[in-house]
Amino acid sequence: MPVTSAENTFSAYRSSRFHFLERLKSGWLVYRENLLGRIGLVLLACFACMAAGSFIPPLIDPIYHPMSGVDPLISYSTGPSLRHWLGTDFIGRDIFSQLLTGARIAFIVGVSSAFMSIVVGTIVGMVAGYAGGTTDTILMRAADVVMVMPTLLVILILAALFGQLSIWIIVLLIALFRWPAVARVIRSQTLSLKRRPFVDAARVTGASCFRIIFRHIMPNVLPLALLYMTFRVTSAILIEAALAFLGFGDPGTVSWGMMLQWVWKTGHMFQAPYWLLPPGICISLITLSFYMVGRAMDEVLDPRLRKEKALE
Amino acid sequence: MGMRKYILRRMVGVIVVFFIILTALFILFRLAPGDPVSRMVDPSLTPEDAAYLIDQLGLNQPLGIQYIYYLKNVFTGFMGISFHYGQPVTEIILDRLPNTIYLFTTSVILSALLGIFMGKIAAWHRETKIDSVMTIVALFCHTLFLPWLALIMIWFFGYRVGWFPLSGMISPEVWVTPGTSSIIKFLDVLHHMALPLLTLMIIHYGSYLLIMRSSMLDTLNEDYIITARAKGLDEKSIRDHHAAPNAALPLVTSVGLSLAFSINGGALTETVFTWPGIGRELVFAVSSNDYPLAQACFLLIAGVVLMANLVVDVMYAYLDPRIRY
Amino acid sequence: MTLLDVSNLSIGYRLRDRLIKAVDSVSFSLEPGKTLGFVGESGSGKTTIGMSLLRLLPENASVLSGSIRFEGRDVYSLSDESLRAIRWKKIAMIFQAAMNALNPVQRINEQVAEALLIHHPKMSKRDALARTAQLFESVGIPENRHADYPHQYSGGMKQRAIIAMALICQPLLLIADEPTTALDVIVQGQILKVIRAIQQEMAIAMIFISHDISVVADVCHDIAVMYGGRIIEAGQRSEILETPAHPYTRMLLASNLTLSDHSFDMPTVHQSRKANIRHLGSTKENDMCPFVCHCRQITDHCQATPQKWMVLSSSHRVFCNNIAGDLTK
Repeated sequence: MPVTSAENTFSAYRSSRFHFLERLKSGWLVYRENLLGRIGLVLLACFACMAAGSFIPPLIDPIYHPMSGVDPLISYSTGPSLRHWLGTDFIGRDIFSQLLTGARIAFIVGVSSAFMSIVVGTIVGMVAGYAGGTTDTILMRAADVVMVMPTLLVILILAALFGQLSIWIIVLLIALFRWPAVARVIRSQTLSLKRRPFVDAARVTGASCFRIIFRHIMPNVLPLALLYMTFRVTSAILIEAALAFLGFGDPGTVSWGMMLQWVWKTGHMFQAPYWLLPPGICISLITLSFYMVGRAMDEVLDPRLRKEKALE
Repeated sequence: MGMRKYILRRMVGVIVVFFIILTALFILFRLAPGDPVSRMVDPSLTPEDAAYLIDQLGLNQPLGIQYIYYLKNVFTGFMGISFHYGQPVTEIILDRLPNTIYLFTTSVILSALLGIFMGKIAAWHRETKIDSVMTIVALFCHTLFLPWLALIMIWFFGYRVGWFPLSGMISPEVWVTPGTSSIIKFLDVLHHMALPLLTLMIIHYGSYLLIMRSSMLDTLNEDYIITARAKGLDEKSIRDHHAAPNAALPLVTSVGLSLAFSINGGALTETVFTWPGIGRELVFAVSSNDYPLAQACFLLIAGVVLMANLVVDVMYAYLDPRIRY
Repeated sequence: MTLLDVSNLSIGYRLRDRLIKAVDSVSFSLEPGKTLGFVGESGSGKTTIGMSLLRLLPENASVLSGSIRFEGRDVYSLSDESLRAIRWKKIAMIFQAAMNALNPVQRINEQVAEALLIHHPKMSKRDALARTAQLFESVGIPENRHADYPHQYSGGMKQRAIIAMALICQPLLLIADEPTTALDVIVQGQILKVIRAIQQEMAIAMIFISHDISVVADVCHDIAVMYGGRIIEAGQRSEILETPAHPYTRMLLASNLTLSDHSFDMPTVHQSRKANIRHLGSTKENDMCPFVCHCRQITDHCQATPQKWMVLSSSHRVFCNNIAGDLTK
């Protein structure tokens, strides 16, 4: 029936390109009903405030600088006080300001590496799904290989060979090893989109493959990619923290993983709960909140989950 | 009979992937800055020993020949001498491997069983208090930062309460005393294993619970569940004999896929609890620039991951009759 | 004694913020060994009635009023245990989605035997499997396929297995919910033949649900036509086929070429669905004609006043008050 398929073409095209805002709005209405999703957003906002606030302490007094700020009066770890709200580390640096900086690093690492792995994963997935055949097989085999590799250990080996890794190299490496799951999901989505009438319509009007993939398929897989991004953020944060914890983080930055490494390596874990608890709680909470946001978004995107809820 | 062909095909796949990893590692070792020879041969060796080792590893040959030597050595189990221990690395990793297997397989199996069981319960009581509490706790546990949890466990159960040893796998004094029965030795290992095991289980059971729960919810909507109910089966039998086996199927695959994730966790746990396994050895080797040891540990782990994935796939095919041809 | 007696049954589905009545004041009864067919378009409440007889309604559905009495006992006040004893042993069911009604990871004969073992706990598994094999033979499943898994069966074979499963406990009542809808015409004919033969041989009472009036006419003694959650006309097969009274029944018959050669435009599902919801959602819906939106013989009277049952013979009744003049023609 030519009429209906033309209608489909039109609506899919419109809804993906011009009505993005409207979709966002209706998605938000569903999202808003999810309690965990709301909590996740509030927590993320708190962490964002921490990250933004991390610039303030060093401005107040250089002794609050997370890396180089050493309190002249203190040269060992002390508990919380008015001068140092969360106490100091083993050479007298302020734990609170380290914690704030850690939030900034976590966001930088998490968001940028998740963004990169999403870009790679989405492109690979779309190309594999759209092209099919040998291209598909090769790309998906590659994805399988990368997928089964334990990312942390791979990065460790690379750290052994290439020496100390800087934070941006770590971000890049995490992204490089975390795309396959995204690629798989996007590929299967692309496979189903490929059979929709609006793609046929575009092909008939002579659109190039490049144009079909980026103008017609991409807008439709983007929400899914965005969802996967939240999960990639958590795994990137955890991997960076674990690397730093094992002593392979960027020595020029303070991250929560590195703070934990200091507590552990300097043998303060039994004496200094004020130092052991905050970074661990922060890592766990930030991953939890990204996870909760992701699950709530999942509910927005997956009508099946929504229906189940509506009927109950 | 189709099964055998399927296994064979998957095995060929695994071998190809292992070759790719082997080759990638070979190239990386030559690509990295610095002298490749000093990376495989301990610079502090006497010149004669060093020359002998270089000869054995084929490091004085052109690259192509080196690659052949490298493959031959990997398969005959000669992968150089550890800088730190001064022993062939194969001996070291074969010594550590069982320890890792004990801890790792126990933790994966126990947390999967726990997750499946609790996921089943949560799905069965969906949208009730039990369900929400279980789901939220699982989410929370799943996102805990593993090394931190390990430290907290040591701090609390090892230090504050003092129920469990702080680290290691055995208490030497128990083992050197002559005449200690093997039961005591076994209990000693168990005592040391408790905390790392608990840590791994807390981290991993949550993801199994969440997957099982959603898979079970899907299954409960299937028509064959209504059939079972119409047949007059009681609810418990429906849940345990009709819904759960079907719901657990996708879990088998996800155990395979999350294996890489679990191995990261295993290495971290071993390191924090100083459990003498492969993961800790790898971290140690990397920190002390013991390249031959790091290379061997990594290859072993990669091999094990690939094999485990194969086993999981075969198991899935065996459990789900729909795949079996 | 009447085997099954349903009186004034209403069933509603709760949605997020409203209640949708799927079955409205339905009454019928069934004698042992008789067959009753329900005909109506999708959404008319046939399946809901079928499921309610075994108390298998989904969680968001509830019986709003009325009663279902099986062998004189109210199904909805039975304890869970006595309900389980009735399920399958006394009332068995052939489900609409036969393709998915079998558990994919169990062998078919074991699933069928399971039904027997549930109700005869003392029976050995071997005896149960032997009985299953016997029954499989009579529904026409070859012996070497008995222990297969569901995915290895074709649609028709699955349906045969399900019929065997429904019969294994020799129930008093069989509910067949669209048993042939998903099958192609040839297989459909074979399956209907099997059902009819077995029903006659074992003298099982049957409720046969279908959207296809020719299929129902083929199998049933009595026919009830449903529209919008109500029975709008009920009677013996000959009465419904030869002297249909309700305008909807006539349209239904007319739309079926094998039973009549008149032709009518049927209201599309889309339109009638809409009408259905609007009608059921309103509060003053009591006993108004559900077909009012599509009726060709509509009068002002129809829209304004509640309808009453018109009794045309001892077995034939119709829920339309606008037929008196019409019937005499």
